[in-house]
Amino acid sequence: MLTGTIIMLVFVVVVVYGGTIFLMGKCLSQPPTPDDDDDEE
Amino acid sequence: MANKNETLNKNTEVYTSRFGALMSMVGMCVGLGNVWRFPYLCGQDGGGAFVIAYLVCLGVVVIPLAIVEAGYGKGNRGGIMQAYETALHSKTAGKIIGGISTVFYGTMNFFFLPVMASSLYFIYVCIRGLWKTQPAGEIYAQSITNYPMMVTLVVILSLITGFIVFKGVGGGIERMSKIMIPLMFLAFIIVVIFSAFSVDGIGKGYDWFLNPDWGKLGTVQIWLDAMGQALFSIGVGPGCMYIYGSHLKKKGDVTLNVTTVCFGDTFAALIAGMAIIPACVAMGLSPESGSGLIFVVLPNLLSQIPGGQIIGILVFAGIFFAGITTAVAQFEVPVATFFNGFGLSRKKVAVVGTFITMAGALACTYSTSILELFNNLAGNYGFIITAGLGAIMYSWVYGVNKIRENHLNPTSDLQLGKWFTILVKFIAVPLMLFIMFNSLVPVLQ
Repeated sequence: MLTGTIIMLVFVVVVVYGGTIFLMGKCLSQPPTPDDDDDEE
Repeated sequence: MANKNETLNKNTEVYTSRFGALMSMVGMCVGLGNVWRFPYLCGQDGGGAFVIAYLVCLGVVVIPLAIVEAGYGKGNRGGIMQAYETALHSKTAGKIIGGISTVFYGTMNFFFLPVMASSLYFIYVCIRGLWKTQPAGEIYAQSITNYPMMVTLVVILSLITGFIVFKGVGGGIERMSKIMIPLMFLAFIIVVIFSAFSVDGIGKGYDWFLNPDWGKLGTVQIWLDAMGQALFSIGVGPGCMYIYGSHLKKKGDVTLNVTTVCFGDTFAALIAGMAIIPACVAMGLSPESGSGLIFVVLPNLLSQIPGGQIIGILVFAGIFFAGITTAVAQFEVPVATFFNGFGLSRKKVAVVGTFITMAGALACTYSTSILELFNNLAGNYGFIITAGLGAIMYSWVYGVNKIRENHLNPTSDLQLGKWFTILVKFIAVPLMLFIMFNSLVPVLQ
């Protein structure tokens, strides 16, 4: 495999795959909001 | 700050869990384009250089537009008619423009379901290993003219799609997405790992797919392709992001959710590409764009690798999951718009819509010219015009500032400053309109 390919594979795994997992973790770990918050306004 | 319409449009259903919300939105974005177009463009447009161009377009144009659309949906609620009504301050104009946009969007399933029927049939082809006795091209050609089978599959798919939307957000869309999207990722990941160990010369395939040709970053074509693919893949503009955003809870963090969803969509495109393209190239098969890749090249590949039947079942199941979640999103937009817009029941609209979709999809199954008509009318002209109108309406008419200050920043950890308004209004929307109309040129020619 060429060096450029290996660098891009690492980039894809770290930035895209790692980024998605990190962001998903951040979304899911936010403090809970009340279920009935749609009635507030 | 909420105006009259905003407070009226409150009765929209919301997701019951954060994971369900994320999976539903990822399911809406991930479709066949991730599987049959992104990997091809990647290999053709300089491998890793295309990935970089795609990520730049995603960050500068598509994510900001998607955040604005979903934020407006969360704040305004209701369907596409309400979106236009609030922005234009006119119920009549909102109903007419929103209604026409939605009808165009709803007809996307007319030509999409027959393609989905083929992917469902190819799961059966893999189970039976039919490619051992017949070339894949012949199997595909025979399948699309095998009307009794295609009609049965289209009817089944119409009913599944209709039933999921009929069951509503929590009980239908969310429940389905929580199962199908993780399974789709799992199927493609297993295939990537398997092909890495079982296909000789897979490194050559990865070189074709990802080795960066940095010189291509200086060409206009790579940026046009990257931007077009990102815009169509996430589907900003016509209202999907608005409707799925409207199902978020009032305190939901749109900025973070939408950014995650856009990353998830790219994850799906790259993992599907890794599952299919390197193995194709390694086996000396030419990767194509479109149905040829999935229904002809891929079965040829599967017939030549050990464990091809199991891999085939996983790949076509992944494609099926990606497709069915898109079909549901394309049906949810008109259903949510019409039941909210006219104060009807979701269930009644879903039942009527299911039979209309079934009739349209069956017509497309029987006639290639009808399929081409809807493909052009809804998939090309309709999508581009409604996406352009949507982006103008959310960003310029209703206003990015209002969305940012009222619906995004108050419930997000990521605070968007005035730079965001400038980025969306003066960079993202003009670029989107340019790309959208540029993609119409070959269709018109």
